[in-house]
Amino acid sequence: MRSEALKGHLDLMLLASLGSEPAHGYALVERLRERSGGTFDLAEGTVYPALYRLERAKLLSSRWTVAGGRRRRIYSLTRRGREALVSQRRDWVSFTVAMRGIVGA
Amino acid sequence: MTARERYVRELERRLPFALGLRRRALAEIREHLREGGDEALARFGPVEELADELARELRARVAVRASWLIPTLVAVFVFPFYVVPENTLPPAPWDVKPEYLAWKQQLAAGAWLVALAFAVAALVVGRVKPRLVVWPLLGSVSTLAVAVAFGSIVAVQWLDAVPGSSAALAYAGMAASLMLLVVGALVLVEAYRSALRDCGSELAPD
Repeated sequence: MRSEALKGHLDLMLLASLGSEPAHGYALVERLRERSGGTFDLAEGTVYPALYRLERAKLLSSRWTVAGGRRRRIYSLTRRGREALVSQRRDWVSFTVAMRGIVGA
Repeated sequence: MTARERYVRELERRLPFALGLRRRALAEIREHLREGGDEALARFGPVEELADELARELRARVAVRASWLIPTLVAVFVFPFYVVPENTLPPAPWDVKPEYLAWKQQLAAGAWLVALAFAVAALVVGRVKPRLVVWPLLGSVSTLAVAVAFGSIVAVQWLDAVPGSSAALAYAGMAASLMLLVVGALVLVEAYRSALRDCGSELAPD
């Protein structure tokens, strides 16, 4: 799937990916690729502006960690982020049900 | 220089300083590319597109950062203005402070209190409406400049008026105050530039 088509869903994808456990940018991109079965062809750099935006909205928090000599910024969901994930997931399910009814897939 | 490092350097060139936020972004991206290697670089996307998106986000955060940086600076002025002189200067030789010192000292203290009030307003505005935060910050830095100017004049005149006052301490205090003021002004300029570049900002010129 093309990068442009995915951009509109990026926030939900990132929130959902971080819903299971905190991660740094590279691990998040890997997680998205794995979970989509390699379907999502996302420009990796685009996750950073999205992560910063979500952090500014207080849906994510982040902190530096050092492991194995590597310094990484780990992102995790805040309480507000968890609430947003629940709400956006609900909207997404309604949307896909409605689209399926229209498109007929 | 590797292709990955060239990418990061180009990104650095295109991003605003953003009160230190650029450094964090570059550190994260450099680590990402180190971990993912050339494959990650190939999938990373055009540097100009990433720079545009990141710059927009960094600029949006500058206002929030400035909204607590300048109030912190203003609060620190309590040391050169009050704590340090109060604990280091010899007792004044007069019962009533000479008028030529008193009014300047009151003006400096008053201006600092106004700067503090603006700083508190900036803290609030920074959380409610970050785009407008440059105005209370501008008020805070300007009144702080007045406080520093009159505070410095008082410090110099105090040296003549009170025997035994330490000139080194007075000049060190003035230098520190001036340095803090310059830092505050630089933060303000960065916040103002970010607000101007932010599309749709109420500050943007017609």
